Order: sequence, then C-alpha cells, then structure tokens
Amino acid sequence: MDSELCFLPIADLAARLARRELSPVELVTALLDRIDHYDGALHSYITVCRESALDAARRAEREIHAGGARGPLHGIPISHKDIHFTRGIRTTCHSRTMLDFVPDHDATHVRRLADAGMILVGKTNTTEFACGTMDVFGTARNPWNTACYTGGSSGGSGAAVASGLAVAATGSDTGGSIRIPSGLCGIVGIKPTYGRVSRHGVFPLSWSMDHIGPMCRTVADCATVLSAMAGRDPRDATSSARPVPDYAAALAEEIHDVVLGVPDQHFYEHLDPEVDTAMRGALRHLESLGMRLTPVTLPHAGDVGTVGWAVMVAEAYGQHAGRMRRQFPDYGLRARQRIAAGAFITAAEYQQAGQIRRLWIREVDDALRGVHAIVTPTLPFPAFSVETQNTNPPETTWGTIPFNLSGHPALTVPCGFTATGLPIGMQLIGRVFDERTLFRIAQAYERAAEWHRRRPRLEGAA
Amino acid sequence: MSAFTRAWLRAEAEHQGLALTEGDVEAIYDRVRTIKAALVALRPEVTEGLEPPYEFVVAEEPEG
Repeated sequence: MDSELCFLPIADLAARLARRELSPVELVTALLDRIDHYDGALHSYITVCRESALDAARRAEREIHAGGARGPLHGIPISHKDIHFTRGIRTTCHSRTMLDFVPDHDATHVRRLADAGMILVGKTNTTEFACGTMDVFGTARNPWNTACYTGGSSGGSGAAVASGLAVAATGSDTGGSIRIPSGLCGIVGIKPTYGRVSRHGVFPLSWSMDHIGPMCRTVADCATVLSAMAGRDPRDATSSARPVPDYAAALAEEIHDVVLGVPDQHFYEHLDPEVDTAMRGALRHLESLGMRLTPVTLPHAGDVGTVGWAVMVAEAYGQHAGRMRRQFPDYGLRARQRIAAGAFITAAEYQQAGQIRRLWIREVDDALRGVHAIVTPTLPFPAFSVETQNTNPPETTWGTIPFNLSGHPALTVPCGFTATGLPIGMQLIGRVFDERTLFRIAQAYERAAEWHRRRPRLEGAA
Repeated sequence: MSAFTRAWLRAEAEHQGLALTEGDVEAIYDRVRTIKAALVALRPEVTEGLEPPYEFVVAEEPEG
C-alpha cells in the first residue's frame, strides 16, 4: 500500500502523471487500498465506487498516454459528498428516505470535475440531509482522534481528505458545513461567494444559504479544484456569469501591503484557551509576513447566527414539506426536528430575517472596505467526542453561519494543534467574488507555518 | 399571529400534515421560540427600502 502517494499535492501528482512516472490506475488503486484498510473505523465513505473508478482510471491512462491530457486534474481522484448527485451512483443524503435513490444526472460541479478528467472514487459521509445525524451508515470519525467527531455536515469529506483516503473532496456549506469539518480535521476548505459554484444537482438544504466548494489538504489544491467547479450554469439561476479566474495561477503572484481586519466583537470572545493561543500565534505570524492587522467592527456578528437559522429552517421546510408528510417517521430525530421547525416560521418573520440579512451584508461590506480580508477562528473549540455530538452537540456554526447569511467567501486553513494533537482552524473572510485574495493570503501563511505537513497517525483506525 | 404556544404549534403541525411526537413538539418549540425572540430583538425600525438581498448574485460587474 503506497500511502505516501495518497498525501501528495495535486500539482505533484499531475506532474508525475504527465511524465508517466505514475499512472492513474496506480493512484486510484493506492487510494482504494487505503480506504479498505482504514475506512471501517473512520466511516468517511458511504459508497466506494471501486470498479467504476478503476475503469475511469484506465480510460484516463489511455487518454494521457495518447497525448490527450485535459489539464491539471486529469487522472486525479475526487470524492463527492453524498448529497451531490452522481449519475448512476446511489446518492443517499444519509437518509432512510433515500437509500435507493440513484440520480439520472450529475450535479453541475460533479460533471465539470469529470470533464476536467477527475476520477470519482466515492461518496462521502454527511449528516442526514446536511443537518441531522449520521445514524444509518455510522458517524464519521476524526482521523486525529477517532473518539472525536469530524464536525458536520461534510464530515466524511473532512475525514477522508485528512487521512489520505481522498486526494480532494467536495462539500456543501449552509451554516459552516465545509469550514467546520475542514477546521476540525486540519485541512483547507473554502465556501466560495454565493453564486460562484452552481447548486444544480445538490440536494438543497436552504436555497439562499447553500454554497458548494472544495475541501483539500493545501490551499493550492483548493484553488485548482475551485477553478474547475465554478462558473455560470443556466440550470441554477443564482449562479454568477462573472469570469472564473485561474485561482492556482494567481497564487504565483506576489502579495504586498495586505491589511487584515480583526473583529473586536464576538469572534475572539469565550474561546477555548488553546484556540485562543493558536489564533494569537497565527495573527503574530501573519504580521511577521508583512501583513498589517487592524480592528474592524461587526456589532451584530453575535446575533445574526439565529437569523441564519431562521432562514435555513424556513427554506429547508419548503424543500422537505412533501417528503415529511409522506415519510416523517423515516427521518432521523435531529433532522426532522430541525427541518420541521421551519413550518412554524411565519411569512412576516421570514421577511424580517431577509431585512436583517440586508443590514448584516452592509455591515460586512463596510468592515471589508478598508481591509483585504477579515481573520477569525473557524470554531471556538477543537474537536469534541462523538458521544457529545450524539447526545448534546455544541453550537458549531458560531463563527461560520454569519457568512452564509451574507454570501461572502470564507476559507479555513490550519493554524495550529492542541496539546493532544487536535487541529485548529483559522477563517479568512473576503470581499464578494474575491476568492483569489483569500487563496493568496492563506497560501502565504500555509507556506510559512507548515501545519499542513502534519498527518494523523490513524492509530487504532486500521 | 396568535401567541406562539405549544397548542398553536400542535394545531399548525396538524394543519401542515406533520405527525409530530410530544418529543418533537418540545424540541421544535424551544428552537422556534429562540428564533422568534432573536428576530424580535433585531427587527429594524425602518423597513422601507430593505428588500431581500440579491445584489451579490446579480451584480456581475466587478468593483473597480
């Protein structure tokens, strides 16, 4: 089992594939072997597409060897969250109501990544409909400590990428579901600007809060995958026609005179002491790289989370009402209680939430006017036990849902570890459609701090 | 709207065709009460001109 291969950055893998030092078949086989060895304990996958992945790898090998390489993602494996539709491959949403659902089409980003030559390895674990629990297929385990939870909802993607069971994965983020598991599993994840990536073919949780994005081990990997996923899609009216930059190419540009905003409310209050220490160290590190820190004001940051939940449950209930009437007992307890709450939000309250949301967007735009990005912890605490998640889960969307409500892009990058070896994430929030600046800042930090070089030991996970 | 009570919630659930258990009613009541209180605390005094946000979706020209 060639584990080293499974941790290489995409650019390195692409270079080896181009030089024929590595074949897509070898790469996919190494990944499948590793999944076989470790995933029984991690539960990062719901479905592993062994045969179709090997078929696709053989096809990619033939194409590359015939001089038909499509680009930096050709022959690179990808894993998709199991609420993202994959044609001909079961897509369960981790729900008893959808165990036999096989989509007849791909989600737009699934199709785009396949067209770029990526090879689908499997469907990753998710909380039920991205808002409940993981009862049917087991709870995803954190590779840094398998007694701990990954965070949700894209927890399978977080665990798979962190443990080298995926080269890259996709997630969706309605209240933090890309950034939370990325932060707790020690990887990079970006929730792009609302409209940057099409939502077509992703089972909706909340149409105005849902964002789709990549989860990878490095900033450069995320940049490469996002470029291939993003862009206008006529099947999603909210997708943007703005040109998609080559985010990976932008990483080569020098970055100067960066000003970072540090909120003086909410985000640095009541932190776990180790998160506090890691964040202070990260801020000093950013300063040492020549970036200037300045306070910014977001007076309603601590209040808008509940407004985000109002919008989320109201829109989720709109989506689920019919299925709930037909199959209510088949929903898990947490999913049904969260989603059904939306039935009791009145039209007037939904409108009020929209008005508060507009004021919040102005507040974030104002805070970003004089800075390139805002810096916060991704979560106020490190990973917690699976038992806690199943009995009395803490509020994990504390620092993330405000930017689902506002639509601004937000990225998490590892910024340290606790004494017991659990990762800590730092969140960067940028101006709308300025993912490029977030990637450049994050990569400058990543290269200097080198937290991404650590790997989980996976003791007891084999 | 009438006051938000468990009785109202049960009646509305029946109206919506949702077969809630008493456990569901309690959990949902607590969650919705928190949401409603937050919305009351934050609702703007002046509402004219506060259309739902959409500009970050349709503003296609990058800022200068």
